[in-house]
Amino acid sequence: MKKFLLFFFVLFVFIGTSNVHAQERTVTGKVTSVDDGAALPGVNVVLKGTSTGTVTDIDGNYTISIPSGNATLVFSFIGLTSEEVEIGSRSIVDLQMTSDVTQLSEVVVVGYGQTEKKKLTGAVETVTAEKFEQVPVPSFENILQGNVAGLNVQSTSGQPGGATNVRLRGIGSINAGSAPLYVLDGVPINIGDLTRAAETSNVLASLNPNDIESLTVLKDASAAAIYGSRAANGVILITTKRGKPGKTKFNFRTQHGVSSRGDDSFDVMTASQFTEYMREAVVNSGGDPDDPTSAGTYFPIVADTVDTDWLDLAFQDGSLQSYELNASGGDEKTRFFASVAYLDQEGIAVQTALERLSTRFNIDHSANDKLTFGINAGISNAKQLSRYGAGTSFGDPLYGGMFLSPLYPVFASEEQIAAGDDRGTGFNFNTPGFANHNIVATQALSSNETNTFRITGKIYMNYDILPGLTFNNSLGLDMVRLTEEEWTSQNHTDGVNDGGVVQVVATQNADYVLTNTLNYTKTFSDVHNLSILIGNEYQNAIRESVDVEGNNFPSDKLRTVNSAAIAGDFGAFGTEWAIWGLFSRLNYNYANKYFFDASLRRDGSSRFGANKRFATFWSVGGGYSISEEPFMDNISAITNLKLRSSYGTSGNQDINNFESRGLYQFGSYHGQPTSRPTQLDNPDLTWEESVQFNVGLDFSLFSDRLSGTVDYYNRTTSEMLLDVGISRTSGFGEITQNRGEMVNKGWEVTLNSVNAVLGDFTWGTSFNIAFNDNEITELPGGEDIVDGNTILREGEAVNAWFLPIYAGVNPADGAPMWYDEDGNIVFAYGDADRQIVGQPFADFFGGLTNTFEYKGLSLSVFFFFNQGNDVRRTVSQFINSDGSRFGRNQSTEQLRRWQQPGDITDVPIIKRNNTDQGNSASTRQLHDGSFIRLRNVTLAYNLPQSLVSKARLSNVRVYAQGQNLLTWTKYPGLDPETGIQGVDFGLYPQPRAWTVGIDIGF
Amino acid sequence: MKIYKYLLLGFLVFAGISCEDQLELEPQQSVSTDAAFETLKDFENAVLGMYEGMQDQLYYGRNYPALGDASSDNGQIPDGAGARLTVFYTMALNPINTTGGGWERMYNVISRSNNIINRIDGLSTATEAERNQVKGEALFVRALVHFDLVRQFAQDYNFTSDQSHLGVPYIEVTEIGEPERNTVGEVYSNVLRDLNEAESLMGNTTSQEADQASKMAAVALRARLKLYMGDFSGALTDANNVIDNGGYSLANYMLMVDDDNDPSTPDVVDLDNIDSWSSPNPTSESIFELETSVTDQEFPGLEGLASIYQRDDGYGDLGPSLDIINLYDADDVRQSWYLNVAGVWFVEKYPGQGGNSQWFTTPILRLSEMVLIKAECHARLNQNTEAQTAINEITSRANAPAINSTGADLLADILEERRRELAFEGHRYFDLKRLQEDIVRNDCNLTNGNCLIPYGNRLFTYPIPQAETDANPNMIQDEGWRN
Repeated sequence: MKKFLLFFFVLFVFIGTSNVHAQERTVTGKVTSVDDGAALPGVNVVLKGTSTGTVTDIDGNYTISIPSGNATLVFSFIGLTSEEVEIGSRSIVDLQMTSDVTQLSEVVVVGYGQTEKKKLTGAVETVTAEKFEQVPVPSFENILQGNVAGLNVQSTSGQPGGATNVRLRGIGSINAGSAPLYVLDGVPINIGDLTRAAETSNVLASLNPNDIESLTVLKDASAAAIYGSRAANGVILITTKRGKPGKTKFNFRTQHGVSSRGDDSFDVMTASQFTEYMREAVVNSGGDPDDPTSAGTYFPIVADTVDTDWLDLAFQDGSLQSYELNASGGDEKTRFFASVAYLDQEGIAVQTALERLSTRFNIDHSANDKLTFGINAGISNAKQLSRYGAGTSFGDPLYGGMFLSPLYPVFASEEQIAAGDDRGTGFNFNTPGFANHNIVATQALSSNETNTFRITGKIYMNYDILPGLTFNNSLGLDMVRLTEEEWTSQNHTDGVNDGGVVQVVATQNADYVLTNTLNYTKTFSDVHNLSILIGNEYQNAIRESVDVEGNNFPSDKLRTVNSAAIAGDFGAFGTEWAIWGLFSRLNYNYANKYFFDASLRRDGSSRFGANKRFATFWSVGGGYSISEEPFMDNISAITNLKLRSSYGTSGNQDINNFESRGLYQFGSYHGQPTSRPTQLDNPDLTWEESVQFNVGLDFSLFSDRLSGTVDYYNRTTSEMLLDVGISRTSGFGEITQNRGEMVNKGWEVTLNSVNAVLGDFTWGTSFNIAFNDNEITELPGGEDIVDGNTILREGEAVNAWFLPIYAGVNPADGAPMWYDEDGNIVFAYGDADRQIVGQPFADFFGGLTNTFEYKGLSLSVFFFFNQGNDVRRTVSQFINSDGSRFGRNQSTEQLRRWQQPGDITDVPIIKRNNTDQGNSASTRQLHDGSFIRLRNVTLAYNLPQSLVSKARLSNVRVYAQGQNLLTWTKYPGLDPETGIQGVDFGLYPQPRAWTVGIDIGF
Repeated sequence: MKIYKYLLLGFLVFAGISCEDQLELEPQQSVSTDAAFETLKDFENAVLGMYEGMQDQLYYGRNYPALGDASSDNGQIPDGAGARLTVFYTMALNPINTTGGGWERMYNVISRSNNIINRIDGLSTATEAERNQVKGEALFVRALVHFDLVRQFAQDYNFTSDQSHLGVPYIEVTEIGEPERNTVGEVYSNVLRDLNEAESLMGNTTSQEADQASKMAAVALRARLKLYMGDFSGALTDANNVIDNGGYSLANYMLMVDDDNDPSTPDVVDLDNIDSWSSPNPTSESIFELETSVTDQEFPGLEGLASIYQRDDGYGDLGPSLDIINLYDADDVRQSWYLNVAGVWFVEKYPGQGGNSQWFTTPILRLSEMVLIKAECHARLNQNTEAQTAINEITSRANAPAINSTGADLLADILEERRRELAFEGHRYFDLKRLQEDIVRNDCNLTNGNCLIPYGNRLFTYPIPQAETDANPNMIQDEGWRN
């Protein structure tokens, strides 16, 4: 850190001495609208050719200091035609500005800066706040689903606050990470699941989506390469809201909603179905179902009055409520945005919820016309409740809900209570075959809570050294503190032997980011527009964690480890990484017609080998605004037409922190400390490199009634990190090497249209679709790498499904059949050959939104679609087990089992402890995961301004919306939306939700 | 031009804070290999780390000693057993499924020893005696593991008259390489060389706990090595050296206890004390063994040797064949190494510390083996009286009939006694191999033909793992295992 402090010192001296002013004079004026003469606040007033500027205040007035002599002021505001005014010797310059309906020069945020959209040469897509302000999802990246072409967003669970997989333009890596880099107001932040014990948790759910002004997705090399070694999977820039000069605006919003399980077709058997099924299985295996020894202990004949629908008991009605108040405003010197928000969401599976309290302050202060500084701070605390033993225990409500026998009652009988078998809880624990679990008891006797306390923020300063030359310095912070607490009651089946168990895991992730940039912008000869950026960045990320466990508690009331009579396992670890980069970017355009840019970044990462620690990444891009050509003036249908292309490299450093080092770890032998090698030295380990070509066309036709973008990309990931076998005489079996290559290529199309304008009625459509084709082009030695039921093979998509093909049921005897590699039917599972039978990634996906507006009323209908992926419903191996999981409840799909010769069905004969292996991994469990989902319908009404004004409010909007109302799919599980792996082991489905809300501005 | 001045200054500031130092981070739960060898304590930790590595279930913690009996006429798979050791018994070996883990684990232990041997000479902060003890132990381990590798993955020493048949790579510098297989002759001579050096370096004549290598351990192992080579006078010299100078004495198998405090009923053999491996302390005859403490973080636990033999407190995956059960005299106290539960036999030689099978001791070298080597060598050198005297130390302790035969009968009787005494310590398969005898399993219901494995069959070597031959083109598969 010493070097940084020194650097700051140098910097301030540098700034302090450079503050030499030329002789100046003051110009004032007022800006009004040509339409209604109203004052225009927030208009940018800039001395042409410099970055000296100001903005108009609430009354449209401005004051600017300029050097003496003639000068030109440039007035600009989004939605208005920019004006250049020669001021001569005037000291008062008033201006009326006209609105510009065709203006396309919206400002977009890019890496380390912002630019006008029309100047981009790369593939960049922005989603602004109005798209997601009212959508009731806890984490913002879920909103991106279907709204950005090529960005595949998959929830892995309906758990409130659960993890989300985000992949841009296909899967970019096999063993390193494939998630994009997220940058919040210039600070790269932690993403994903940082917990150690919770089943699924998403650290991004700790951010309040309504604090976000815009999300920008940088897709190609031209846009992303400035992020160098972390940009290979794309970059998502998050920009939070900031205050604008003017009257302080308040916004209050609240939402209330309910949610429930959707209309999936999945169910398990009732008691009578189950009894008939299990009896048949006993008979088919040569037993007597009325003889307890042949029926077995897992199939107790219980009074036929019991018919417990355990799966139904795993679900509940969810709810949502949120309250939020924010304020923004300020004056020319100081602007602010402040918010406080509360969200309380109950999941549709029992034991799941999310409660979040969040606040944000963004303050910018212009000390003088050269120096601006500010602070951003977002502070939040999110409490997530998760299921006990999710996916691993019969005590898990969803897992147990599928398997528990319907013949077992929820509550203990009077005899059991009298005998104390219920341990005083009233629950029935006599559920042999299920480790004595009872999912209703689980809810009462266990809890699993994750608290995420997070601070994201930065302090920054901007200094205009000279006209056009700006220095920016910022220190960013992302601090995440996670506390995971799992409590198992002394009366819970898993806690009874230990007298209750409490486990606590406390983890802290702290990232510090220091960024400096110098930006120089100048126009030469009126047509040569040049902008140069240079900068550097250092980031250090530290993760530390402590875990403790306590057993044997005096009472269930006491749930802290201090009250435990017996200390359990404990541990602690720490790890860190650091990255340092030096970067530069040049943008040039000629008369806003021909565009060129280039970027260069040199990065060093602590994660890579001493020989290969540094690497350089670069990109070039070009654009051609055809519509700016004079010969296009006659073609009135085309208002904008721009061709752009880029090529460049970026990297992926998302591997373990010390993977390149030869390492020794410590253990014990006969009570004495030992050391041992755990990892071989790997000094040549370095980045995966991605080379991406992109070509795109932006167009706007028929007075902007139809606009859109088409992009084609080809991204080659080379030097892929793969585990390569080495001679075991080294003491190890494999080492990670930069081998292997993979290509993702595809198309993205985005269309926006205004379909109809009839008086006050408008109908607009936005549509996007993305096609991606993934192919592995090189593996070490060309050898297949098989991992369970997936394969990596040259010429095939990554992680293709590698399974025997199920050939159905032999009508003669009901036995399962498969194919061998020659296509012959075989009758033994061992004779079947595994083959590539599909892949877990969609061929294409996208979104379609139709918006209808009439006066203050609007209706928007949003569909998401996803086509061509195959989902492996692995839970079928247990719930479609043909009797091999005897005594466990089964899917109702098993009702169509083979029962007599001649039956044509896909479900084999059922036998107690069936060993035909019909349920072994095969295409029997593989299903088409395509679906179309009516993701969101919103009906909103903006109260008329006349009414609102009377109440001294500025706007009032009331709305009702539905989430996930309908799903069209052939997928037979609880939910086709399974996450990027395409594996369904009894998923927590996405809820169907109804929400009403009101937004009030005053 | 002011602007350029600023730009230049800006660049200098940027360049000035190059953060290369900031990228030199060190892990917190582990250290880089060089940092693991800075002090004598570091080296001593690494020495203990070799033993910890040997304790792995893929090596001495289970598989290696287990296969020595499973692959012979001693083993049998009891009803209801898990599949952990089945392939070692059925000998349905192939390069893909059987031996990869053990092969890699053994070379991993060798890498631990090489990291010590190749660094210790530069440790100036320790005395020469301290350095020598560390290096001696590492050489002992390197020799032992290579000897174990060549016993398992190559034919016996005298398979060819000049020992030119394929052995295993003798690794003295661990690196990512593609080493060729040394001949068996080369491996044995390297083992011998390392043992000689280990003997000369180590200051500890014996290890008090027997949980670490000592000078006597090196001599004892060399006795076994020479026996395998057919150097009977050399083996005899080393065995006598250990017997006479090691200060060890045969453990007492005859300890009887009053089980019911009723003097009128006969006492019974104390099961917990009959063997050497149930107490946390070594027996009087332990020369080198791997020991566990309840506080150890790394040990095979329930996947280990003790649990794998017992059914009452473990998995009972490998049991004794009736061939070995029937070999004991009715009064032989060593019968209590076996337990019949409802008609199925299990091995009870490793009851575990305090009866808990998670913590156990794996014997590697003990005095009884030295006495058996002494007897065998005397017999082979036609010294009948000396041979009888030696072997009857073993029989008399076990309350077994004395051996009074001579000549070839005496040798056969001694070898049978060796089988009885060392059963389920991992010797039998390797003994049959060095004796160049067929594996004849009478109590055997295998249908794959492996009830009789004639000497010279490819099953007298385990195949080199496929993963090894895939990654290392210089690694030639044994002839019998090539496709």
